[in-house]
Amino acid sequence: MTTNAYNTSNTIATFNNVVKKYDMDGYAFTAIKNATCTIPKGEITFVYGPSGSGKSTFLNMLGLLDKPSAGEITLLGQNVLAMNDNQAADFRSKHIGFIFQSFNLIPVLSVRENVEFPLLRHPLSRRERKEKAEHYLAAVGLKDYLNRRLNEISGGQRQRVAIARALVTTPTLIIADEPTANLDSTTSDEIIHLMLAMQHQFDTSFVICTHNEKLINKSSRLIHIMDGILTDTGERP
Amino acid sequence: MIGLIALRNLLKNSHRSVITIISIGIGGLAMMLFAGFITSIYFGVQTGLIQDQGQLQIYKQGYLQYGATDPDSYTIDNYQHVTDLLLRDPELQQQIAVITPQISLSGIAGVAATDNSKTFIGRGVDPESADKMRTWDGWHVQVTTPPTGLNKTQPDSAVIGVGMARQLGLCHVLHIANCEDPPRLQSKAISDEQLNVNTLISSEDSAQLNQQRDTENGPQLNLLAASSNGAPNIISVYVNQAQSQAQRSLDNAFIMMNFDLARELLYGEAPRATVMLIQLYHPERVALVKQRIQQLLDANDLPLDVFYFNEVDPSFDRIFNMFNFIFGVVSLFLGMVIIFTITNTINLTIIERVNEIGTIRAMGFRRRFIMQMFMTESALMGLLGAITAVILTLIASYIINHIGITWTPPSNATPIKIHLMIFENFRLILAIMGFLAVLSVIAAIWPTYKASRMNIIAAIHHV
Repeated sequence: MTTNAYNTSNTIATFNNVVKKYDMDGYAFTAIKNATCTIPKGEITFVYGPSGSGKSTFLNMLGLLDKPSAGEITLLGQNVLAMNDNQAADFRSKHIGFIFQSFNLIPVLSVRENVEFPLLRHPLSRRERKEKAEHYLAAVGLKDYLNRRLNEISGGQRQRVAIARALVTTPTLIIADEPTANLDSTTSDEIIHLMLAMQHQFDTSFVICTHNEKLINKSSRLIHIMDGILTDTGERP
Repeated sequence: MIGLIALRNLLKNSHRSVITIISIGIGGLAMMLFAGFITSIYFGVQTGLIQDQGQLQIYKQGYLQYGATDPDSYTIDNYQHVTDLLLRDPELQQQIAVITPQISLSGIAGVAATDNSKTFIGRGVDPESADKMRTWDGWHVQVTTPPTGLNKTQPDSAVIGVGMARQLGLCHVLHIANCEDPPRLQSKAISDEQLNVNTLISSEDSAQLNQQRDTENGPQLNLLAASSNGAPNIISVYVNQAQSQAQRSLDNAFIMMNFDLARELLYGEAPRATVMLIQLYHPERVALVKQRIQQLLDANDLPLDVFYFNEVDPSFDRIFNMFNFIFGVVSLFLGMVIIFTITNTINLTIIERVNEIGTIRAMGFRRRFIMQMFMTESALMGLLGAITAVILTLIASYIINHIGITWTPPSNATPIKIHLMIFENFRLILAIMGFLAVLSVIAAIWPTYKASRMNIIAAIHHV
């Protein structure tokens, strides 16, 4: 267990002795072991570790997609364990954006419609939705691709769409799970730089999970995971 | 946007969507054609009955319960008074197309020339009114009932059933197609129980009648019936044609004659009738008219009741209920087939879009939204299937209505042309379309419920 070096008033999330176990055909597998850490506001945090180390499990719990087997997680001051499915969904729609490794865009929608989509949960008119989507697509450099179908754009551009979609609801936290794993190295660099720029521009907290050490921005905060054991020094590497 | 996603997914999987939509369409087509057929029966059979019996019938109180065994005690004593009373009413004047008395009678009919006689069931009708009633087509279904054959003929003319003509050996004389006189008619023994009516007519009269037998008036029948005072009475009628009746038992005994002749046979000069038939211009106002007639009868202390024709003869309701039941069963099975088809399609769609479901849930959409998304798609398929059904029905009904298929309803003696009344009953079409849409939604409930409860993480990473 490590100590938290950050001021809790400046944190988004706090993990306290969190354990996550899975039952795999009768065999109990512990994916996260007594994790304690904090995620700061308005910064980029890299979660680093090899494949199978428990990074995704950590992000799933942080993103309210999964619940811990033991321990306590506090997100924006709220106890995650007390939330039911609908409350968790409402929380995600207001405060959390996701960027996935495989982009996970809706294939039948255009670039702009994909970005508009999360706004359906927000009380906005169609016009407002459209304007917001266009604003964020312009921010990620896709102003000229608004009405393109997904099969008409590259993988890097699709991930940009996913970034715009994550940003469009102005969440407090964006979780990116291996966002560059399906991209070539040049595009990966572009995407990481874009996320850094977006974090700076919109003052949103990013938690980026990766197993590629080269992508880690040297000035960002780092959480390391190995065999389910999380190391949060509270310092930048 | 849910609708947009649904539509685009249907287009994306166009082959599967088209098959599902056509399946729904064919199910809907079957329902609509059947519904059109039943509507056609409903209005066609009803029109035939109204042409014959009117929408409303006035009987003396108790006739329907006891009149069969004691018809003489349950007659309308002054039909003209009732007619005048109803036609004086300004409201009824506008509604009543025909009001006419009718007499039901039975007795023994004999043909002097063949010494052949048998029981008969008869109706005394006013030919002019009866023929006017037979032209009624309040729902424009083009059902035609042949005229009585008594209008503008001699007052002592009569029309008999084809079966009756056969029994009496009049097929040849009346030139009836597909009708053979009985073999060895002349040597047929008359049973002890059977009364030979011809022996009751004096030899002088008989000779006179025999002379007239093959004249232009047609063969002569002598009718014997019990008059109101219990004494037997006899009249002679001349058969000018035979008409098939719906039921064989009636056809074998049917005689229709002039009202005055029947009245003379049973009641002498007394203005009595068994029933008064009332036909209305506008069938949709029948309930109001019935109510008004009953009010007038009660207000004038007349011991009469007014009935709908189907209260007197429930066969119409039975026929209609039978078809409705069959329609219900057929629709149920068609509905089940449609549900299985749609469920299968939605299941396949969900399997293909697991990743999308997980992503949408991760974005913060509730389970209900996932259900809405797929149910919209299912409902859209149902709606398109319903529209397909309407288009197919338009084509099929046009063909069926123009190739001139006929059928003989149980209540008819003559076949009627099948005219599928599908779009005349627009509410039914809308109901079937709604039924298909509802089925589509119902079919999607279980698969979408399962989809909405998928594990989000597993769904996101589903390949």
